[in-house]
Amino acid sequence: MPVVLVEQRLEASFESVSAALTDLECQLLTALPAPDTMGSLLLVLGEALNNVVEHAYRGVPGGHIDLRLTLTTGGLCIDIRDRGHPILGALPEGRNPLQAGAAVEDLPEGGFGWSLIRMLTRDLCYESRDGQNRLTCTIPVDATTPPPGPPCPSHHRA
Amino acid sequence: MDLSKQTHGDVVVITAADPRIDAAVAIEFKDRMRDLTADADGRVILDLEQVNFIDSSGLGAIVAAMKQLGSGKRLELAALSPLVDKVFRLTRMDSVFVIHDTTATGLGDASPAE
Repeated sequence: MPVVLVEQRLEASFESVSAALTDLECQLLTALPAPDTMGSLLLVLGEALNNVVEHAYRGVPGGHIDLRLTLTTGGLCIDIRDRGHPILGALPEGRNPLQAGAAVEDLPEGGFGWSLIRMLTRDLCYESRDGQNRLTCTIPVDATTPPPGPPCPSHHRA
Repeated sequence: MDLSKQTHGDVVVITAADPRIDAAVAIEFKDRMRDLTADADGRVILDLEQVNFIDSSGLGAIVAAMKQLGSGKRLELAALSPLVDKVFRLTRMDSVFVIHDTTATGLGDASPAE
């Protein structure tokens, strides 16, 4: 049976994403099967949510993002919805990992977001319909790890 | 963004005291690093022991901080937490920075300035 771990709406700003991830880390401390799942989740959510802030809402305040996390036997499913500008065409691939020996002045300062998402998830899907954009993906979870305990209730957000 | 600076001989050590270097603080981090390293002639070590999360914006800001050092100088990093280490490994940025287990290891025999 899939278990909904998180269902929340957050304001579309970098600060709000940062605070939400800090809260989620505590809230899900005992709910995730392996410590590595938490790390991957925080990285993927950080990139995906900040993409919405930066590109869908283009830094304009007032937007919101709906986030839902579901734990299934197949992994941790992430569902992110917004009503900002859609991504046109295919999802970006993101920058390839660096080649060794690159000169300091030639190093990229960005572009790693999508490649991190792609490296850490599978079943990455995006659709934009009726003004709503929806990104879904799954963080694989090792099926041999013990079943999760309950999330910490004191940190539930309205 | 809480960054503090110490000088050990000709080595500058910058300690990041916030738990996150992310999109919310990336620009501030880059600007503070520019101020703190402007007069650094020798090595610069960034101690990340208290940082438990960076995202791609934070990573970009650390890269930018290294470029600001000028003359192709490599920024050195110390005490990466598991998640920070993971971001550096996944993007292969671990091949670009000099990474020490701790600041003490990075300092080697450089003694504190009096």
